[in-house]
Amino acid sequence: MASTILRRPWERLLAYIVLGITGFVMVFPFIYMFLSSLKPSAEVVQVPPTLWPSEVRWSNYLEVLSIVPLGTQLINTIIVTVLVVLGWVLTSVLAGYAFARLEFPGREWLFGAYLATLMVPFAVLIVPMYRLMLVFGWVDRLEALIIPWLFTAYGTFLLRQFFMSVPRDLEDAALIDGASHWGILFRIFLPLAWPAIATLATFAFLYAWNSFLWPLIIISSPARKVVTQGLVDLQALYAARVDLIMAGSTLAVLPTLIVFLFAQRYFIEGIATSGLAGR
Amino acid sequence: MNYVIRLFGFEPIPWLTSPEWGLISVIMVFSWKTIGYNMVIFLAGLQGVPPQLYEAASLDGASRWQQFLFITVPMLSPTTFFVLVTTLINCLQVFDVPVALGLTRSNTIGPADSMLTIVPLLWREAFIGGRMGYASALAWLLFVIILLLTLIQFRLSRRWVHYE
Repeated sequence: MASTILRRPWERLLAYIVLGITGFVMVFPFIYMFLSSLKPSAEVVQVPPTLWPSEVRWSNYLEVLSIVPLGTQLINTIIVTVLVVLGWVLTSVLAGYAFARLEFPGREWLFGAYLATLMVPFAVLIVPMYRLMLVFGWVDRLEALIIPWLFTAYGTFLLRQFFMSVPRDLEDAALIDGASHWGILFRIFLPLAWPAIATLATFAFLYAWNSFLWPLIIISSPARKVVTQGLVDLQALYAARVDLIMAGSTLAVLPTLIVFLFAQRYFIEGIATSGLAGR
Repeated sequence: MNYVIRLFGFEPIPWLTSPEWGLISVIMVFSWKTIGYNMVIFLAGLQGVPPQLYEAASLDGASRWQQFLFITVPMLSPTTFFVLVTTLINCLQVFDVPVALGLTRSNTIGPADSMLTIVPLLWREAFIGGRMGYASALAWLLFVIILLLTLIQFRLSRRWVHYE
């Protein structure tokens, strides 16, 4: 699809104004959060509110870290997130390919059974999963946050849909040239389904990074908690110290921000190049 | 939102405090939450449509609208099918939105339980009411309903989903 280029100057100006306002509305809460994290505690809740801190207090950050081990919790969250993202992508690619292209007896039934796991709400799973974790000895351990979440029927279904729409001619040509299933998967399917895989990885990241209910149930030691729990603990312990809560929240979004700044080029390139005609 | 409604000279709407509007608020918030995900999935699907198809179509004199109707829509049908199936499942299992918007001190979900959907009911019976048997039966019932609806969707998909 050809993208529309704005030629007239006033159109361009209008676009910049609209995009600028939208961008500001999106970013402002984060800027305000960061600036508030540097204020003395009385100033944060002061009416009328100030934007710029009257006195810059980096010590808020040290104080937060002395209350809740956010550093350790961030590392826990990063470990869990990286492994869950890898697990989602790896298992979904392989299973999606199998369900889309490999012929084997009972394939449709197996796919149906896999899809049926989506149909059970999490509220139903809490008790049985807790008991299972007890059996495995994973209660209050990071394994409980990682291993049950490496597999996803959602991702498998998504990639199956994308793989099934890959033209069979491409594969037949590769098969005649003597390519194996691995060769076909890596040389043909992965490049063609790349946008879907990037989407899946992004969803996996959001899902793992923001998960809260399951960690709350299964993890109780402060040093093994994830960052969402750490922030809730901070809020419960120091509800009146909004400056500290802001500092903790800033620390919690920092890794996501860094990852996004590095990855943003690829996201935008991915969207931009696919729009161009004549590959 | 009520500010905008007042600007146009209408009465403000009691979004969360009246039984008539409770469910509508849940629908609006849940839609807002789901649209973003599905939009990204459609975006990924759009990137898989070969640009040659559009070139060929415009050479044949197809309008923008015809290109959308006869290339984009059929080429996206596997994506549309995925979105339909997963969104239906997610909707029938909606939990966090009604609980976050409507949970009251007396454990009703919304005024006069107006925001009560299946999973919040299940959760309330099991973990507040202690009626595990009732909740389990409800969970099975929900599972069977979702399974049947999904099965029907798969059957119907043979008629309108084009792979390749």
